[in-house]
Amino acid sequence: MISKTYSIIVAAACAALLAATATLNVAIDPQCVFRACASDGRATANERYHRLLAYKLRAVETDGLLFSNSRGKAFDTNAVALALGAKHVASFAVSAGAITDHLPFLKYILSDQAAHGGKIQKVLLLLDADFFGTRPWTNLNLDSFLPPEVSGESGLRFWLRYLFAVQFKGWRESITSTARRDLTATPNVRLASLDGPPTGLVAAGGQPAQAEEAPTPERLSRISKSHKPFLNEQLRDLDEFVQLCRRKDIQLTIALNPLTRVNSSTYEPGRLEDTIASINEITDLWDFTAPEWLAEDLAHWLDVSHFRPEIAQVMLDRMFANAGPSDFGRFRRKAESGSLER
Amino acid sequence: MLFNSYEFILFLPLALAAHFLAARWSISAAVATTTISSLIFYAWWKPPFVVLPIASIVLNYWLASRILASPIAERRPLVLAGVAANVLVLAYFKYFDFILSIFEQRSASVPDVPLALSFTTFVQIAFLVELARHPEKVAPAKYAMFVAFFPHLIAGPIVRWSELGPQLDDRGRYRINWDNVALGLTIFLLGLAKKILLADQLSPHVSLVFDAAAAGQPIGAAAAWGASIAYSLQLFFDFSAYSDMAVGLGLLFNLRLPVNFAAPLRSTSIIDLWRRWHISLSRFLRDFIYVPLGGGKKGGLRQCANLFVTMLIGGLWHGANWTFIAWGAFHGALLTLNHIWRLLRGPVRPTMIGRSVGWLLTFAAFAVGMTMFRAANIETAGSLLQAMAGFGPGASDVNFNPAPDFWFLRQGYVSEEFVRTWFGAHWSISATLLTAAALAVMLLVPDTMELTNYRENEPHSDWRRSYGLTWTPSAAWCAGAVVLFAVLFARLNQFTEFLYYQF
Repeated sequence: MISKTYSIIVAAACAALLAATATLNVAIDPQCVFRACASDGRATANERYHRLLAYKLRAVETDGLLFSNSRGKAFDTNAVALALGAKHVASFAVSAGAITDHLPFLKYILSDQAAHGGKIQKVLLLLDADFFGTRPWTNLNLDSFLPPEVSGESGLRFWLRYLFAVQFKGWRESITSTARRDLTATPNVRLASLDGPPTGLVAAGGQPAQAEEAPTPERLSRISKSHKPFLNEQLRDLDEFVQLCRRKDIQLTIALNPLTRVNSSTYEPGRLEDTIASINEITDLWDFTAPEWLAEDLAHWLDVSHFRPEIAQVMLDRMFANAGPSDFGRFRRKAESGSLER
Repeated sequence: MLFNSYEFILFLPLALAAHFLAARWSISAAVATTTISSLIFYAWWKPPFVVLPIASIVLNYWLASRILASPIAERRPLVLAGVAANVLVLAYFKYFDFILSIFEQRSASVPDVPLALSFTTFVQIAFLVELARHPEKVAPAKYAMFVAFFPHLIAGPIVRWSELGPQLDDRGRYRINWDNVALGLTIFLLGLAKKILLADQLSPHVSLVFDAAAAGQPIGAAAAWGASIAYSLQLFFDFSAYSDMAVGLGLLFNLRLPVNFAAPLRSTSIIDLWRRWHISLSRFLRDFIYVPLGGGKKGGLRQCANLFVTMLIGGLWHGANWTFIAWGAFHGALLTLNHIWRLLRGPVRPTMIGRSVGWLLTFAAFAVGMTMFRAANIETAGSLLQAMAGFGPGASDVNFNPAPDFWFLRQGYVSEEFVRTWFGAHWSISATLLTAAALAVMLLVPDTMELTNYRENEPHSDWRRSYGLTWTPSAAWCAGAVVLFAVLFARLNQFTEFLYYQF
């Protein structure tokens, strides 16, 4: 083979691969960034991108915001608007959403509102005692990249990533989910994405009783899931979020989502309480993690992680109408964990 | 723009097409076109910062013209002024806050150093000195392309005018040379493979340990050694990958850049290692610092002092941090020891065992040095070195993380106590196995320059081994190159910067 043939074959094969990948990505569009297909219910869609598009469509009338991970999808935005006393609430409830998503979104929206003379009056921020402090999914996956306006990255880079990403699973998932979308209605939640990679850590000598315990898979898994390597960073982000709302005179309500017993028992004892206490050192909050009747009864849940819309409504009633069961939701004043109930 | 980015995949064919199309018009047009492409490549990082290399090129060219126009006796002060001006700009961006922090007795902040500044500064200093020694009229456009040529702009190799200048004057190089294109594509792909399949795989394991140490968390001996060895390999695969890609890209433009790495981690002595590691920097330090200081011509003691000072400056060039100064001083001391050892031993050819011991000592010393090089600050370096020396925390003080070794623990192949004692929370069996595999690749698999038999301005070739597996433009290699590209392209989603971009 001569060098010219070698060069042309290699270059042509590389170009063909690029072209084929780009064609597949545009045609299948797993993240729904090339056309509006997010409503197809495909699990690979970039919800962060679509939440921003939805906000932009009604930016002028938006004066309230809802930030959450997929658990917040149980909230009806009209009901949230009614509870908050807002004209329109834009939802940023996204799969595996974390404070690392919420803070840049809030910053972008505040500057966008300032640009057209609008003002955000109310914000409802839903946090999770189990995921707070774990590795966030922000900008980690193709489906979790923040839109370029929000992240500040070059728009070209954002689009090229989606054009040239080789994503066999994404293509397959999109094709199968499109094929079955008319057959079954599935809730748009992603359990797998919430579980995240196990990255456990436990202080040596800190818990001698456990050190003697046998290294069963369950125990190892519990130790892994309890690891919160990003806790301090996320607490700093939360503090910035709170301060930003304060500076902009925004009425901020923060709540911790309920957890099932099945879910909370997969963590080391005391770990979730420590996280709640750390969050509470920064801000007042509504703690919905505790009630036994909710944690034990899976009838209130879509799955072990996501509560039903009825529970979301009860949460709103507790926070904004002083109604609902009194054992559901404790209001904790900043740095006075468990001191005040109402 | 990174060589391993989607933008670059689009940029490269456009830049090549523009170069060779412009070359049909004239050589000057091709040179100007590629200079502009290179500045676009640079500006992709932070557009306003492109003013800096442009201003630097213009001022250095003006100074070069003044040197050429001056009588021989007056050239020296002009060269010195040029060198001083370049060093001052570098010092302002890179060391100003560090120097200030010493007087103000505070921690220095991380400087926002313009990309490529360290490399372009050395390229231009070398140019001014060479020009004073061998006066030669240089066209402004060719000088601009010589400095800004994007394959070497960001992280070297630190090219000399004597290497690239004559090539830019050669009309024959402005036509596509298919032999060089075939070789260039192959070298680029092999470099990209080193970066993505080896360096980037080690990176997260290294970061875990060094970040934890920087946060004040206790690190055990095995974790500290593991991370230091892994970082030594990561840096080698990362930086030599960049150099390979630069050479490959140069060949696509029908230009031959010098070999920058000669399998340095296979060296059996520190002297040998520095002949083979970042060759273009070692050469610069030798020619413009070590030799002017007197080199080895003024007695053994003076030679040792010169070596030490040269390595200290080499360390400082990498960044404004005591860790780099300590790293430079450490290597200065090692080189001095190595020279003394050679004097004591005399001209004896080492045995197989001697070479093996030499390699082990050299690699271990290099890894110790890399601990300082990678650590966030001198305190972190100190705590890691303490751990490596066996004076770190005991097993009961070290945290435990079962996640990376979950499978081994669950299968019962290792005990929790074993993982806690040997690895702690930040190192793992998986990281150890990966590091061992990378070490085996480094030792046993032929280097890109060996595989492709690329030799350009290589001062020594005694490092090359014969594997009987030399690249030729054959059907098998063609299929291999395409498959390799497919594998690498599929993994391109994981963006990581080249380590040497920061220097």
